[in-house]
Formats: sequence, structure tokens, C-alpha cells
Amino acid sequence: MIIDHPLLGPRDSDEFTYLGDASLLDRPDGLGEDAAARFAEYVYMRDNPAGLHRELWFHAAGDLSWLVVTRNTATHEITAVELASDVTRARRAGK
Amino acid sequence: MAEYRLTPTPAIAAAPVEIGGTRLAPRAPEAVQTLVLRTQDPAALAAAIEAALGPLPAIGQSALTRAGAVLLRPSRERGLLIGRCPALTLTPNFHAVDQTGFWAMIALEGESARSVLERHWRPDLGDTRFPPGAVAQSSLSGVAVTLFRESAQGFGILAPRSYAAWLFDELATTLLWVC
Amino acid sequence: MSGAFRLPGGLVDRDRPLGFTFNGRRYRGFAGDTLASALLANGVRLVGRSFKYHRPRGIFTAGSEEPNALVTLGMGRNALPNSRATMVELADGIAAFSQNHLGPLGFDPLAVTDLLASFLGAGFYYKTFMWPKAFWERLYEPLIRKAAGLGRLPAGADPTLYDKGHLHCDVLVIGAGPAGLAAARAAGQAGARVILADEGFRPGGRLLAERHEIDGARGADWAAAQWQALAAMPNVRLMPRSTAFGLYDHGITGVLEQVAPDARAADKPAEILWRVHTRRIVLAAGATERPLVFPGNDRPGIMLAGAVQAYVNRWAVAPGRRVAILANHDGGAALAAELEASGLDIAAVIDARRDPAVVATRGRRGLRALTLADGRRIACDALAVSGGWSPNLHLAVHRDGKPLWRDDIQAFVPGEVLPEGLAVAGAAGGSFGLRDCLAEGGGAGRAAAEACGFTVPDAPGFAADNAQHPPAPIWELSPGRGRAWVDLQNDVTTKDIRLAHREGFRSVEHLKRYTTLGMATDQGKTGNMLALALMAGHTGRSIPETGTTRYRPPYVPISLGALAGREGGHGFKPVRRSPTHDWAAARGASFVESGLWLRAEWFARAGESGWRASVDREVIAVRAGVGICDVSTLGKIDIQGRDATEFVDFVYCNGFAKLPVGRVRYVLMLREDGIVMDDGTTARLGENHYLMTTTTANAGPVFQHLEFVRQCLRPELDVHLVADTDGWAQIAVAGPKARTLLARLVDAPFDISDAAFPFMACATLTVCGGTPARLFRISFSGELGYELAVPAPFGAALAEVLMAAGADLGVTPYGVEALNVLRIEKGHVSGPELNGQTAPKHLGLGRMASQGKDYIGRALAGQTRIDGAETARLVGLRPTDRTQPLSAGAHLLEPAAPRTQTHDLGWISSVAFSPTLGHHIGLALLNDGEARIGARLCAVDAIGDTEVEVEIVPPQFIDPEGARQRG
Repeated sequence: MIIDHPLLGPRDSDEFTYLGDASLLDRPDGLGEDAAARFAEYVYMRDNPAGLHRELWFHAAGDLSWLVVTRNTATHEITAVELASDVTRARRAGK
Repeated sequence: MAEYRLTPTPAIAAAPVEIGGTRLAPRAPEAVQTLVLRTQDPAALAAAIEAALGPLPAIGQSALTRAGAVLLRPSRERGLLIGRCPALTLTPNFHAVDQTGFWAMIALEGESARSVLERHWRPDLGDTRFPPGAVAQSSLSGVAVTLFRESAQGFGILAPRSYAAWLFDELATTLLWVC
Repeated sequence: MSGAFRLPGGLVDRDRPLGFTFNGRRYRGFAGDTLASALLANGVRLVGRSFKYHRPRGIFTAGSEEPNALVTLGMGRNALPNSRATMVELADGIAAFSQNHLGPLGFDPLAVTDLLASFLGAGFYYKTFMWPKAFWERLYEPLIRKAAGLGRLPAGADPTLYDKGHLHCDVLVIGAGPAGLAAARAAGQAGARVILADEGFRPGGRLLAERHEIDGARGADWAAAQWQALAAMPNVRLMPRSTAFGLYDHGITGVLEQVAPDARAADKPAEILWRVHTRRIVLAAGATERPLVFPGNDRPGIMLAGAVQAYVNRWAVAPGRRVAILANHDGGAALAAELEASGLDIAAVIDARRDPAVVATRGRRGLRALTLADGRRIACDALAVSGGWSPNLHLAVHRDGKPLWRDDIQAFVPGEVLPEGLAVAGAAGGSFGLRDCLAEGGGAGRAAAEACGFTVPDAPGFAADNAQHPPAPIWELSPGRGRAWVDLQNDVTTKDIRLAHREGFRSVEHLKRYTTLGMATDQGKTGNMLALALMAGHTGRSIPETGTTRYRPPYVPISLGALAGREGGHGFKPVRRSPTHDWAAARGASFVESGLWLRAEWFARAGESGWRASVDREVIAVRAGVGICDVSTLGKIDIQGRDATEFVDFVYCNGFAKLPVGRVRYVLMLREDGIVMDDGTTARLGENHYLMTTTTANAGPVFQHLEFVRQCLRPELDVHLVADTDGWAQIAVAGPKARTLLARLVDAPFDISDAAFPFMACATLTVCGGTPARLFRISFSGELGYELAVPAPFGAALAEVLMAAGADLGVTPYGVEALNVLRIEKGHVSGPELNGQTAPKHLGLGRMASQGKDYIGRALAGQTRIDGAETARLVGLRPTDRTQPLSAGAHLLEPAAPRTQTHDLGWISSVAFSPTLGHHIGLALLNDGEARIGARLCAVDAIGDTEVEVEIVPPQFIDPEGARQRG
């Protein structure tokens, strides 16, 4: 697969390691009251879509950036690639 | 009390290989520093680099510093400064980590240089995407390296020292196979 | 003269004769021949025996779709079985051997299977050879295995070299026939980066086999001129002998390149597997002819009509002296005229649409005659058969997509939905007129270049004929009059297809697997279309309703060696060497692989009886005096920034805010589920500067995890990481005399006394008259210990200097085995205890977890459980009979308990012989371990089938108070 890195252009997916669902970006508050329950959800529960999936890739052999890739798990079509740090910052600003 | 002195050992012991006008050789730059760039304020960063060294290249490009060192910018947050240059003090916009011992350098020059590289390197080596002066980080047969195109037929490879001897052997094999 | 069947003319180079052997007999051919054309030129028509029935078989085609002429090239280790003679470019000295017969090719006793054909129909192995049951494994299976298969695998390692590579272009053109050449020209002239790949060694495709003129030039000459013009364009890369075998995601195409015979060498690769990254693809892969099905249609001498044409026109070879022609279209008559003009005798031209059909053939080792429905017998030694042409649409449907049926050409073409960026041109899309092919190719090339942003100059079209011969929907002649073959390579007949239908295997996917048709190395290229047409006839459905089986890469067989490339031997994986590697090797170290690293295991001395003797000596030397050990492979991460402390505080369970500058902490990094991910030491070198270490194996994963925290969870922090593992050589100096030794190296004014540099201190300094260094006072062994780091280039020299400076102290180099014994004696956890199932509390390190802050792993630290091991705790153990050994991995049970999982109390994670204590010791994770100290349990090794009684003790076997490391 080819991942079109927003800063570096198209790169082979073999340059990356795959982590999983981008829901990992939404880490709950570790000191919150219901932390154990919320972390159990965060660590163990996942959707498994046949279709669009937002997921995290690490450019291990490249610039060491984390990317959020929107990929169709059935066709492998990649519709969006963003820097994960941008995604997190945007979410916080939006809050 | 005996006086002891430590002398350095080169990263690659193998001798240069030259076949049919293409040459593969270890190189030992005087110094290599990794620059950690803080990019929240791009204008301030560019100004700080300009003040300390010279123009800040765009991502994927390189530039010469005023002192004659080569500044590579393979990614948004990283620079690689190759060559001796004035001591860099910590600034709010970047800091330097001396990695002279970390990086081994290999030079590959000649008409078959690209033919050798395309057996190992995944990204595009074409003149449009990777012209002279371009720099990129990727994998050469499983080793994460920084590749710098110094000229039309000349490339520099910076690899972490522990991999360098193996990588040089692999490239030498390819040079033999391609030429 | 290279053979009695050679004709004048053709495209072979008569100035370059070549010698070769087939089954030991010598023959001659010319440069430009294939092995098949050269064999035919010499009148060799019997080339093999069929798979199941061992029937005599001859050359059937002139291309990569060949089902019969599979030969073994070469001998011994160099033998290459199942090579298609039609694709072997003739070279001097080739030795070829026929396959699949016992004894000589002309007389194969296994042909008795032909007589048993009624027992060996489709799926016979589901119905026969079942009784008695025991006979299957002992008798039937070995017999069938011996009789089955085609070529034989050579014994020994493959001496062939292979390589891989990556190519990039704007337009990839697949096929160098008329459509492909026109496409490449158009795209190349526009300035696009073009790759033109063709599986043959000469450009032109069917232009080489047929008689056409393009712009007044002979077809083959026109092709050569186009190729030359393309070769002169710097933006065009020509790849002959290169098969595009698969289309993958995002335009990535697999291309297998064969090195030309005259460029081959034993020390260079023979095949190169290319990944081509392209923006646009023009699929101009042509079409493959299919035969008709009729009784006795598998004899040597029966060939595809297009192949007969190719042998006559391209290779100047007559496939026989009297040639009959059979076709379901009007191309038969045109072919007859061409062959007559070349001097061949035409025995008959049979039009399957009108004329009496073929009902039988004669001639076991070579065709001798045909019998027609009206009783006529026609003497002939070659039969050219054509049932129409099937477009080579494979790559267009590899990703997905259903082919479309076209009644007008009685063939499938690529469907309406094509992979993104792929266009089809010429016969591959169902256009069989030459003028149409040229126009479509040029058009597709232009469109592809334009899509990539290039402007295409206007170019005139090519003048050529547009003759076409659409076939009638006739697939089978004279059904029921005798055995008729559908898949030649797997010996599948029309009877097998009827049987499959009768037994309910009616979908094409079931038909394929039940009869095995299309599953041989030719992948059914000449038989599949016929099979599904016949099944459509049986079921009464139309051909498009019946559909095709799924097309998958590779288009042709790919050698496993090419898929591996050079990733064997030296190239298998990168090797990482530490800065002291050569120094250690010179001192007699043996090395162990630790991931990609090589680490010294021990330093054997002359006269030592084995590795235990060396390791015991090294351990004793460290505890009695001083030893040095390379620890450069452990990960080092440089952390700097205004928020460095907050960052480090977040990723570790330990508290960091109060760690003074110049101090080191032993730390645990947890996963978010509370399980320990890694341990290490982190040193505070400055207010906002930390140096983190990781275990060797986890250097990469921990760095990735830290960057995840930095970029994805806490991007607001000012903190930056630089991986620095390779930048420093780091040597552990351990033992009561360690300080004495190091004092001789450190430069004034550094004070290495215990008061100035206590346990867990760190400092930046210089050694040996000015070399920058870092010193850490940490101990893995439990002795007075330091780790001294210098920039990697000075590592080898540092090891030498330490040995020289410590000679009078008895300084001893030690390797990772002794390192491991020392840490087990000390009760220090390592990899076996950090196995992905243990949280800090299991390791007795629960107090390290800070209560007052959020950190990765905090929320689930107490919650994650392993069923049956919630109360596991780290303990030590030793055999009650001190002479007995222990096994790592043994499970701990009460002595009287049944040896079952429900009574399992834990397991031994680390074991060593302790030379300090004189007996074996171990560390274990034991349920309620702390409460069981003093108890006696059984260590049960179910694999080694031993049991040893053990005493449970605290894990620290030496110096539990820690006085030695704090001294």
C-alpha cells in the first residue's frame, strides 16, 4: 500500500508500523473517578468496520511521525492522511 | 600513573569498491549533529537557524551553511548538520545533539549509483521527486537511513553505526551485480 | 543445418548457431530460437508424458500458456524443473530433459495408468484407495506420490542468485505488441516516465507470428524500429523478458525480470523481482488462443493454430510435413494460404461451422491421421486448431471486478469497473484488428500521459489492415465419440466435467477444485474457457451466467527464490555489531544473536572444558575482582525540553519530579493495561535533560511508544527525543575493584570516591586525557558497579585501555551469559520475568508505582488479571538436593498434588548455575509467593519429564542488604 505522507509525499506502507484504531488518541483521565471502567473500554473495546477505518501508523523507517490514516478496510483505498499531532491539537482546540 | 589515550576506530573497516566507474566508499565526516527543530513558530525557527548557521532548507532539501557545513532537512522536526561548525548553544527554537559517533557515512558515486540504490530503496529516486540537493529518510534493505543526493550521480548515505558494516557489504554486493 | 524441419527466412540469426541437448542427444539451433522451436526444427515432437495418464505429449503452443512441453533444464543442484520449453530462450550448452516418465520417454511403463483411466477420473482419490484404511499411509499414498507430479525437485540448496528492487514511473505499459508499442511511444514522446515490460525477448507480440504491414513496413521490422526509438528516449525504461504478474494496491505492480542468457553469471542474479510504483497502467497484454475439444485431441503434433503460424513465420520451422487446419472461424483458410506460401503441404482445412467434424485421431507418439464424421481419413502429421482467442485480462481483475462476456467475439473482456488508473488496449480488451490495436494503444498512452500532467503532441495514426475472424459459438466436436481433453496439463477430460456436473459440482469454483482443471502450472490458460462453456452446456445456463473462476496473481509461476530475493544468508536480515565487536572476537568471544545484534556470550580460554567453565570463571572473577562487559546494545534515548520532567513522569510509574540532577533511577514503564512493558535506568543529566535506557530488544518499541505519547497524547509538551543507541559505546565495570580501575581512567578533577559519586549517581566527564564520557553508578550484578559510556568510535580503544589498566587487578571480560548469572544471583528481574503478563506488584516492585500522579498504566494497574495467577509473586528457589539441576519453564506444584493445570501454582522464569553458591538457583513467579517462603514444592518439567524438589526463598541470593553495590 502507499501512504501519502502529508509532508513527505507517497511512501510504501512497509516504512511504517501499524498500531490500530485512532480511538487510542482519546485517552481518558487517569485520575478520574471511573478511570478503571473507562480505561477498560479504551484498552480493550474496538469496533471492527468493513469499510472506513481511522487508524494510527508510525513512520518508523522515516521521519518518526505518527499519522492518522483513513482507510477502507475492504478495498484498501486511503481517503485521508493527517499528522496525528495536528489531529489531537485540533480536537483539543475544538473542545 | 600511566597515561592512557583513546584513538577512534572507523565505523566501516572495508575498503572502497569501484566497478565500471561507480564507486562505493566509507566516508568519515568531521562532525555530525542532529538538530531538533521546534516548529510551533516557523518564522522564529527560520530566523534562529539563519542567525546561527545560515538558511533553513525546506523539508526534503539541503543547504550550505555560512561556515561551509551541509545542513540536511529530511523532516519537519529534524536537521542533520554535517561538518565542523561553530558550537551551537541551546535556543528556544532548536537544540543540537552531537551524533558524530552515531552516524556512519557511505558515499556512492557514478553512473550506476541509482541502479544500485533502486535494489534497496523504496521511495522514488527520479529527478523530479529526488533532484540533486534532496534528502529523505527511509529504509535501505531494512536499515533506517538518511539518503542525500549530492549531485546528479552522487549520493551520501547516513546509517546508524551498528548497521554500517553489514550495509556496506550489501551495497558492495549490489554494485558487483549491477555493473 | 539445424534440423530437417527448418524453413528459409524467419527471425532467427543463422550467423549464431547454438548447440544443446535433449535427453542426452545433441541438437543445433540458432540465436532467436526457443527450446521449443529448436526441438521442432530438429523433428523432435515427443517432449513429455502427461500428468495422470502418462500419455505422450508434444509442444502445443508458442508462448507462456504452454501446458505440455515442461522440461527440466540442467542437472543436479542446478536443475530447474517444469520449465516451459516455449519460453526458454535458446542458449549454447543448454541441457534439457523430459519429465514424468519411468524409463525412456518413448516407452513409459507408467502409461499403464492410461488403461486404468476409468478408475482415475475426477476426484478419484475421494472414492478409491480407501480400503483397507491402513493401506493408505503405507501403500497407496507413497505409490500415488511417486507416480504423480511432473518435474522432480533437485536436492540441495538452490545455487541461483535472485534480487529484488523498486521502480517508479508515470506510465507502465504491459506488453510490447502493437498496442503496447504505440502506447509507450505516445506516452514517452509526451515526456512521461515510461516503463515498457514484455515477457518475450523480442518486441512485437503477435506481429512476430503474423504477416502484417504497418505504414508499409513488415510488422516485425516496425516493432524493432519502435523499440529502438524508445531505447533512445532517456525517460523510457525498456524491460524485455519481464512478466507483469500481478496488480496490487495503489498501482503497485509486480514484474519478474529474467536476465538474458548471455548476461548470466554464476555470481549474479538470474531473476529480479521488481515492485513497480506507477500512476497509470496500460494493459496491452494481448490474447491467448484456445483450441476446440474433439476426440483424441491431445496427440503430439496437435497445436494451436496461432502457434503453428508463429513457428513458421517467426522461427522458420515447419511443425510437420502435412498440416491440417481446424477452426470455428474463417481464419483457417487465410492460414492455409500463408502456410502454403512457406512451402508446407496442406492436408485439409476443416471449418467446424460447416464441415464434417473430427471424430478420431491416430498416432500414439505423434499424429498420423484424422478421421472425419463422413468417414474420410486424412493423413497428416500436424493439426493447427483454433477455437478463437481469449483476451489476457488477468491483471485488470486481480484486485476485484468481474469480466464481461461479449457474444460477438465469444470471449470475456475486462469489466466496466477497472482498477483506478488502469486502461486496457488492443487484444487484451477484445479488439483483434491490427489497426484498432494500434489506435487504442496510442490513445491509451496519450490519455495516461495527459492524466499525469504531460501535454501530448499530435501524432498521425498508423496504417494497417484490420482483419478479424470472430469465432462461432462452437466448443466441442463429436461429443461422446471418444476421450477428449479439456485441461491438457492435469489430464482433465470432458467425461470429468460431465461427472462433476452429475455429482453436483456445478459452479465454476467447484468444477475447478473437483476436477483440478485450471490448477496446473499453466493455470488453465488454454482450457478454462472450454471447460466453463461445456459446464454451461450441461447446466443449460449461458456462459456469462456461468462466469469465470477468480483470477489471482501470479499470472505465471514465480520461483520462490525470486520472492525471497537475496534475503537468505548474509542478506536475510541486517546484522548489528557493537563498538567492541572486533575487540571481543579477537579475544575469543563467541557470539549470540539478540534480535539483530551480535553479543558476546562468553570469552572462552584455552583449556576450558566447555561454556560452563568459561561462564563460571567470569562470574567468580567479577565477584572477586573486577570484570568488564559491553552493554552498548541497550537502547538509549536522549530526552530534552522544558517539559522533559513532566513527560518522563507520565511515561513511567515511578515519581520523577524530585530526582536531582546527577542521579539515576531504576524505572518501570507500563503498558496502558498496567503490565510492565520495559525496565531500565533513567538518568537526569540536567534540569531539562534526561537519558533513558531500555532493554536491547525494546529499544525500538519503547521509542515508538514515547513518540506516540509525545505526538498523540501530549502534543502540548515541549519535549523532544533523539534515539542515540548507536552513538555511545557503554561498558559495565563491576566488582569490588571497579572503582580502583576506573580511577585510573577518569580525568581530574572528577572525584570518583564513594562520597562524591554514590550509588545511583551519574555525571558527564572526560576520560583518558580528554575523551568526552558519561559515567553511571548502577549495578545489575549486585557488586560495586559502574557503566562508562564514550562516543561509539572510542569503544574498542576503551575496552583495550580497561584491560591494560586493570591487568594487575585481574580484570576479566565477561559476556551476556555471566551477566545473566550475576543478575539472577542478585534477584534482578529481566526479560523472562517481564514477559507481558506481570505488573509491578507481581515482581515485588509495587512500591515503585507512584500514587499521586496520572501515568501510563495507572488506571488498570491493579485490575488486569491472568486467570489463576492473580497472586503471583517473584520468589527465588533452589533444589533441596543441591546437586540437582533446575529447568526454566518448569511448573511448581505441591509435592502431593496431581500434576494437572488446576494445581499449577506458578513457573520458573530464570535458572542458572551459581558458581558463587555452588548449586543451581532460580527465580519464579509463584502464587502467594511471599507467604510460601520456606515451603518445599515440586518443580515439574513435563517436557523433559523430570521433577525436582525445591525450597522457596527470597529472590536475592547474595548480599540482600545491598552493601556491596553501595560500598
